[in-house]
This record gives sequence, C-alpha cells and structure tokens, in this order.
Amino acid sequence: MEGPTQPENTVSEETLLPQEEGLSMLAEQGEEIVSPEELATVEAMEEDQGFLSAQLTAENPTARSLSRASLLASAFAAIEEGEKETENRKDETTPPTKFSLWKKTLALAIFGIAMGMGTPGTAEAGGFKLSQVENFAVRMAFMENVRNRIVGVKTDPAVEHVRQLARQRDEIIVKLSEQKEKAIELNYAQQRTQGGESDAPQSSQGDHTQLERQLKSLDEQIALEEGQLHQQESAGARFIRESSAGRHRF
Amino acid sequence: MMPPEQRDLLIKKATAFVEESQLSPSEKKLLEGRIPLTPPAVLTMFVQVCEEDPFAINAVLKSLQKKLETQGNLVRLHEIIRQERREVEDALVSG
Repeated sequence: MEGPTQPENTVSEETLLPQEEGLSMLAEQGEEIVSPEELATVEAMEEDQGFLSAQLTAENPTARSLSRASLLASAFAAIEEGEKETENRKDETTPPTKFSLWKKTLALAIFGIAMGMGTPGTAEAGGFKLSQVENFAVRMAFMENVRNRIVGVKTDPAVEHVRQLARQRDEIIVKLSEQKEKAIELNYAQQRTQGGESDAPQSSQGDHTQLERQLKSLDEQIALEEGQLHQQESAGARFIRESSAGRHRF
Repeated sequence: MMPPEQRDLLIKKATAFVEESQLSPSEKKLLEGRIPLTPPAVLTMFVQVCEEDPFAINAVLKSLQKKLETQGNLVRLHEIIRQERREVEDALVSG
C-alpha cells in the first residue's frame, strides 16, 4: 500500500488518515522489520483496540468506563516504551534495533487510536491525524527514525544544518592537523640542512590562517545554532533526556 | 492546536486528580510522571473520565500496571488487551 504523499518536512494539519488505512500503513512498515508471528499478534491487537475504541461513547456506563480506562492505560504505557528506549540508546545516533523500532511503532498506533478517539472530529471519522502522530513522535524525542518511516518527514532541517556544519568543522580540523604535520616535517628538514632559519612555506602559512579563520567562524555558527535548537526543545524532550540521566523517576 | 495556557490548565487538573486520589505515593508517581508527556486529547479524556467516575483513576492505574509488567512483550500485552475487550463485551451483554 502506498502511504499518503507528503511534501518533505511538512505534515498538513488537515491530513486525516482513516484508522484502518493508518494502521495498515503502520503494519506495512512493521512487516519489513518483524517476524510474521509478531505482525499477526499486532494485527490481532489492533482489532481488539479498535473494538475498545468503538466503545468509548457506549451507552452502557460500565463498558464505556472499561474501554476508556484500557485505552488511557495503553497511552500511558506507550510513554514507558519511549523512556526505556531513550535509556537504552545512550547515543542519539545509534539506530534503534529492529524489534524496538516495531515496539515503538506499535506504541504509536496505540497512542494514535487513543488520541483519535479522544478528539471529537477525528473520533467521528474513526481515524487520527498524522500531525498528531508526528507531534507525539517529536514529543517523545527519540522517535526520529520512526517518524521518518511513518510520515516520510526527513530530519528537522535545523538539526541537519548543524550536523552539516559539524561535518565541515571536522574536515577543517583534519586539514589543519595535516598541515601542521607537514610544517613540522618541513621545518625539521630545513633545520637539518640550513641551520634552522626557515619556517613553513608562505603559501602553506596562508592556507593555514584561512582554515583557522574558517574553523573559528564555524565554531561560532555551530554554537549559535545549537543554542537556538536548545531553546526550541520541547518540555517533553527535556523531560525524557533528564529521565535518562536519572533526574526524574517514575 | 491547544493554546499553551489551556494545556497547562489541563495538566494542573489531571495532576490534581492524581494527587487527591487514594493511590499510594508510588502509584501516584507512576501517573504524574507521564502527565506532562501526554498530548492534550488524551489528557482531556483522562480528566473527563476522572470527573465522571471517582474510581476511574484506579481502573486506569490497574490496567497501566498490568501493561507495564509485560515489559514490552507483545504477546503478553495482547493477552491483557484481549481480556479487557472480553470484560467490555460482558458488560455490554449484561446491559
């Protein structure tokens, strides 16, 4: 099945994904990364959750209360998955394992249903908004990979720009250290042959100065953009990060 | 998109329900820690449920604890959800 076409880095607020289609898409994403048995379990679970969602507005008060409690608990439990994953993944650049990725995808599905059913407009349509799912993904901070797979949104351009600057910086540092090594070698050779009067060649010195200037400018730019990114971080992302550092426990 | 002040109010309400409940401190913590991370639609439902039924918070917690005990095991998680579905079906049949 083809997922809905989304322009890069944008998810329309109005994009409404019928529940069945949304879950099929999630299942399809999972199909690539989980065993058939796991997928069958997830599909059966989705059916049961669909039934519970349909009872959110049941006339029978007991059925209504039980179904609401079940879905709310699933939503709260999904947050647990996020915290564990953040703790397990010490390094943000470490990709999630296939299995944990699917568990998060499942958590997202559970959450999506609860959110969709809890919102009058989307409850009627029996679906949930992609933007809500994306919002959850952002809130959980660790979900970048899943978010990309599900809604086709690439990494946040601001984050990507800082990474690009950092890569440039690394390249310049390598060049600088190569030049320094060359200069030392040259200086040593000249000292041996000419009695130690000379220094590195003029052109090499010019390159060196220019590279150092570039490095300084990149350092400043990275610090500025990282500062802006830091300010933009959501309370949820901070909470998750702090939880993994042991500042919050629940 | 819910305005931040409205969301803050919702968080305060949800937190107050947890604090005023008869749950133990560790049980309260289990819910309180998650409230700031919960999107407005879910929080709204949580507040509605707590307003309608004073024992609803216990039901949410009981189900949450069971689900957390599965430690992400899909089969065990599904067993719990299937059981919850059966309970709802029984309630519907008994009227």
